[in-house]
Amino acid sequence: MAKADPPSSRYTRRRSSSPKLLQWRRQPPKAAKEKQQPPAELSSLEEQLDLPQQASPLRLVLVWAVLLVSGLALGWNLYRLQIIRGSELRNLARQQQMVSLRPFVPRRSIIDRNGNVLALDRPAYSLYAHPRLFKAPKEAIASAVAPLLQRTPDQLLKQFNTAATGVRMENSLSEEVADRISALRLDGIELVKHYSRLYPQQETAADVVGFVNVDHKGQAGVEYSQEKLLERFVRSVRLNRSGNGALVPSGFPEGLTNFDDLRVQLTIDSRLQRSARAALKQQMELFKAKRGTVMVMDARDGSLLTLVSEPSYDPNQYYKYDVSLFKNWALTDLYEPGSTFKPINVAIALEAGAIKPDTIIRDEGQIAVGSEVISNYNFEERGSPGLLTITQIISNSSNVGMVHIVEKMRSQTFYGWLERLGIGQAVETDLPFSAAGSLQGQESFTNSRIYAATAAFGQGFSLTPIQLLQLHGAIANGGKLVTPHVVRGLTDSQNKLYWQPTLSSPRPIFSPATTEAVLEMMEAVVKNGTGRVAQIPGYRIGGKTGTSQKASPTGGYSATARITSFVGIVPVDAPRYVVLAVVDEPQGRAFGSNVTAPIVKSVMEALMAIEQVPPSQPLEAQD
Amino acid sequence: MSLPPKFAVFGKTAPSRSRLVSSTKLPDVYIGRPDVPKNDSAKGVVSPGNTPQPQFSPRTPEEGMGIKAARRTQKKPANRGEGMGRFSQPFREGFANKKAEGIRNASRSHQTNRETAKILPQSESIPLWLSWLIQWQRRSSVVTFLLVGATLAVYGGTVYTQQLWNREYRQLETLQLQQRQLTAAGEVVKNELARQAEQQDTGLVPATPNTNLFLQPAQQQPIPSPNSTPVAAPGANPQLLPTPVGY
Repeated sequence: MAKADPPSSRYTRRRSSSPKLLQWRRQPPKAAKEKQQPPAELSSLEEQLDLPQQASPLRLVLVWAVLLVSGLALGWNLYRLQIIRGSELRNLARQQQMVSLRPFVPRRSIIDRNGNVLALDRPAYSLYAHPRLFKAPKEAIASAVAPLLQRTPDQLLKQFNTAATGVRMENSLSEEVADRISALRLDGIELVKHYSRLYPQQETAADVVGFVNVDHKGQAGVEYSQEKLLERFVRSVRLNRSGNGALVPSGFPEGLTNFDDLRVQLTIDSRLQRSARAALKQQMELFKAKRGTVMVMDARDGSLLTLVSEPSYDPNQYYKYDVSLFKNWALTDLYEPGSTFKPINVAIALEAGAIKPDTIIRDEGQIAVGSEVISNYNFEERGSPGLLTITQIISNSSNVGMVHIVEKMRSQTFYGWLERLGIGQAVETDLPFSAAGSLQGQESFTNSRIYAATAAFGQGFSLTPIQLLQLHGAIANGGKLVTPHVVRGLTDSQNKLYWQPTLSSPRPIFSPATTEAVLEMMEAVVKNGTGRVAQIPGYRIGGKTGTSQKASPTGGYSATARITSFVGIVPVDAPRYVVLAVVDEPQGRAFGSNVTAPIVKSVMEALMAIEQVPPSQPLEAQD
Repeated sequence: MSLPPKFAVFGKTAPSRSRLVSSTKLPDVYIGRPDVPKNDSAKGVVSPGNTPQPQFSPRTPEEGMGIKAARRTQKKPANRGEGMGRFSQPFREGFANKKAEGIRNASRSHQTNRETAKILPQSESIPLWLSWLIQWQRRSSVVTFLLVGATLAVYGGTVYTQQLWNREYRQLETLQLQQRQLTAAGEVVKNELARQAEQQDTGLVPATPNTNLFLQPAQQQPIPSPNSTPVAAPGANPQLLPTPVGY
């Protein structure tokens, strides 16, 4: 039986003490029911005697009352906590339990083509003091914090006494110092985290990279123009905190911490940038020039390897510099290119069929165009050079020869070509503030002979240095106008390219035959013309000097101020790199040949070494 | 009349409980069979007890319970005596006999116990719904146990993973901090080195093509045409030479 029905036996044993229950349990089925009555009575009698005496009603009421009252009291307290003080307590609890988590999602770094970091984000802290909330004496707090801020306690005390709350003690504390201050656990000392941008290469690439202001917004350079690329959305999540202060990660959005490691890569080469800046600075100091710029472009795709403007600034401390430095004058300021534009005009004339590479032109040394007299720069020394080939006109930088070449075209055709080249329009680039050049209106240009004549040697119209670079890029790459740009794309930490900017496709303007002919002429300039300074043994280099008069603010041309430039294309056998150096207002006997050609030479030397361009002819041992 | 608390007394030892069951069940036996002659029933009760008595009654527990058993036996007939008036004489006699026997020999209870044990299955047949409920209770308690265990395990798991997450998150932040500091420091040092190199007195010179060493690529070896290899027969693997090559 025990085995068959253990629970029942268990109940039996447990409840056998109560005869009533026993009687129920043992109720026999059917017929035996009536007969069972007497023992039932028996057991009820027995029960009366067995049970303890009934509790007094007072006790019962008392117990009930206590239970009822305490139940009501609990209910009231519940009502009070949940409804009357509910919102207040909820806020308190939230303050205590919720913690706003802001993972560090920095603005993207900017790296150069070799992966050197040009700009990176890091957290910084502002330190505020609220003397009203101090729980320790001001002196004690000042002496505790002072060594970390590298100040004297007296200085801090003075600051503490300026206001009761919100005294800004420090603007950008590093993480390490902030950690040490928060470890002091001082009441009334507040650290506010924000981002600060570090430009470890300082002014090396400042003209390209730009800087961000206090609000972390780009103000110049790539920081400004590529804001969308650089900015990342900082999400903050509110998380619960458990009793021991640990975060409860439930509700933590997936992937919040693993943001991409993409960086904005530039086509700039910091090493070349450095050597270009050094060369430019040296020449500028030598000639006490006002400003200068050096640019190196890969003519195949328009990527800029170097863009240096002097004077420059340190983007880490941009606020210490003059605002006018923040614009990159290579993009924003117009100048009359002078003789550096002559190869372009020759290309136009060749392309228009006005001349052939072997055309011979008489150079009188000085001609009158309308009421104006145009002469060669060396007319006073050499007079009339006589008959010249196109190559000789270029290599001697003959103004009169150029006027004759241009005048072989109709002025409308010439003007049409200048427009096709984009003179008078802004260069499309990914750097900001590119300015549009200026060109005479078509009517006045075609009606007056002088405009075409001056435009023949690069005066009378203006463009930005970067536009000149773009035009010479077309000579170097077989006649296509490429977009000068500095952004290579977004790369990950493994240097894998994830995204590339879509640039407008190169616009063909010259035929390769034309550019080849012009390149040979430019090579002659460096070989035995005005650009001999730029020669590098073993390499075939094309180039063109330029020295132009500056328009004076009072009208006409300034007698003393000039702007010197030199453009170099290297190597001529497989033209790829275009180097342009422009120096504004050098003092003394300054020409493109002696001011800017040495800059271009040293930049090209560095370029050949860095890009490992082998010499066209084997180098002779030098010593 | 103050009685010792029932539960305290009977709840203490198992033997006493079983005795209680047997003794209170006694009337049922006779109620269920009123027409059985008293002698027979008496015999029936007594006679089987004679032989197994020594086996079933160990002395020790009985001595320990002597008082309780006596108390009950004194008590109960006294209580019942009043309500017995309705019963017929033979029945009463039989009952009295029975009681007397119970008092006379405590070991008898074992015999009665055995007897009722035989009959109980009939009378104790519980209703179907109850047995069904009991079955359910047993099963659900197992399930409950498992569920409680699983709940505890899951809860422990969540607490542990949260701890783990906190630890890992802290580590992530530390690593990110270190990465930032290393990158910044590395770049600053790089810049400083480059600055120093630009100075004239460091003895460093800017890179020029003169400092580069350009090597002419070796002239490409003429690839021997398959026709000019006399060794390899068509189809034969040229790498498997018939004779080993000594070095």
